[in-house]
Amino acid sequence: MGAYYDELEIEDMTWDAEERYPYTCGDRFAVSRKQLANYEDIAICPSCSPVI
Amino acid sequence: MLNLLSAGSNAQGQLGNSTIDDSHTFRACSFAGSLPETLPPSVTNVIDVTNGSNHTLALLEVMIDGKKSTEVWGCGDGRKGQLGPIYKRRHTDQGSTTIFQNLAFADAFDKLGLGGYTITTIGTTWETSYLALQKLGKRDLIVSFGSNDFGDLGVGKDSGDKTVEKGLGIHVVNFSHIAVGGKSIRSAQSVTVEKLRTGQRHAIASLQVVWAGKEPMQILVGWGAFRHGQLGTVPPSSKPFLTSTISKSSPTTPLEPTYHSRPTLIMSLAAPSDFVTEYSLGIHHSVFLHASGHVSFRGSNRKNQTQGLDACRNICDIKCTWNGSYMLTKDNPPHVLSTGSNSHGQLGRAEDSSSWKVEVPIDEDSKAIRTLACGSEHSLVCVVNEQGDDEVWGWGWNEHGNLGVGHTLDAPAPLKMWPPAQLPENIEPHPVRNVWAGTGSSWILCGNTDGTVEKTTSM
Repeated sequence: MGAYYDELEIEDMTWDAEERYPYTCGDRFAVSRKQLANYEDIAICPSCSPVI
Repeated sequence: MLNLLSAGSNAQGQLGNSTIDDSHTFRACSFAGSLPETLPPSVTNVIDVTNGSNHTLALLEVMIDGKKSTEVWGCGDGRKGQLGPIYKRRHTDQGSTTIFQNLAFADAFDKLGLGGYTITTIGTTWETSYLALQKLGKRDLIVSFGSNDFGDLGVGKDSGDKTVEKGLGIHVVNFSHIAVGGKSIRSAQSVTVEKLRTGQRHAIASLQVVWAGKEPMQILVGWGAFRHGQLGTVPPSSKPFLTSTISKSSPTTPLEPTYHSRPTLIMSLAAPSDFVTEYSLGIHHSVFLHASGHVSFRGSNRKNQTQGLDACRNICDIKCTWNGSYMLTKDNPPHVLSTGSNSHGQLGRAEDSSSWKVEVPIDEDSKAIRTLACGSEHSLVCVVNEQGDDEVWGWGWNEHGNLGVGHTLDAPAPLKMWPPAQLPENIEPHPVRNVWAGTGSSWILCGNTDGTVEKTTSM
């Protein structure tokens, strides 16, 4: 993976089953709380390539 | 014939072109009940097109039985109610639709006691939509429907409050509690919604408010996400520019509020020279163009999106991408100035250039920039070429083919988008009547209304 698209603040994400953040194409990055608890803080937009 | 064309991101059918595939070139939109790839015959103009995450609203001017009115049509994702109650029911039964449907609010408005109002303005945040309504002798209104994740509905309810989904899910946004100089809007003689502009998670309305015996005032009110100061206020307890540390004890309880769930005062203006003539909203910032030609702003400068804006003069239009600000100058010919994030060539110029001028390759003698439109991370201009014909140029993020130029490479400098080398069938490329840029999408309205309208009105 190349550069990160952006570094995000957790307060700007929405909580539901997953932690989500909007991406420019209309889809959303998603990280589950379990992933966060395991220090996995990189997410991939389901519609395109960028990572956060 | 008048045609609406779209290109770009299309995961939920939000381009209205009968597919759920991204379109890397411009294709005509289809409308239920009309021939494929055509606007309904009653349409005399497309007043506005706006995108949320995966839904689109189009405000159409129609002529029916010799009477002019407006209709709102929509397509794409309606699961959160962001395309209204009728579409939501249909979506639940049949999935999203990939062609525009008439959202037909008349029955819902009647049930809400809003019969006889005309829709004048549309807006969308991520999964929420707004309509401004007008009726002779009444105060203008704004209604909202869809998601309330960041207080987007503006009705004073928290994101977890499920009561917002009850009934039709259409809400009237109330401004009457807002007071200026000791006078509340509740006591005003008239309230007119001049404009409604939306960002990713916040909305701002400009109101003309008249109190008895007083000159009109302009009052800007906003609601939704405010943590970065985009609504002008940052709560003392928030830490807007710190990146959260993710740890084993990751939060399991809701974080402190990061949004205003009901409208809050952003600015009130009494002198006409100070009035805001145009404004636009990004994710974390909001920018305002005043009648005097100067610019003010609220919110984040983390990506240089507001840096130096207060020094700008002689500006006639202003727009935001999510993380940038773009201005059209009053020069002859006009120029586009850009500042903000350049991670995908959004600035349309060298990042370190001394000038903010976007290099739109226009011949200074014969081409003029007419319209500026900004999407999530790309921008478009409509220019008039040497022959007097319209062209559309665009630059920036293009991952979903949203510039409509047949590929998905980002464009760090403006590319000619329209007319393309290969025109779609049955499309008159000129005149270009308007352009819009949305969430990974671009929209062009072109062609003539002649003939179609006459046929309709003579029926």
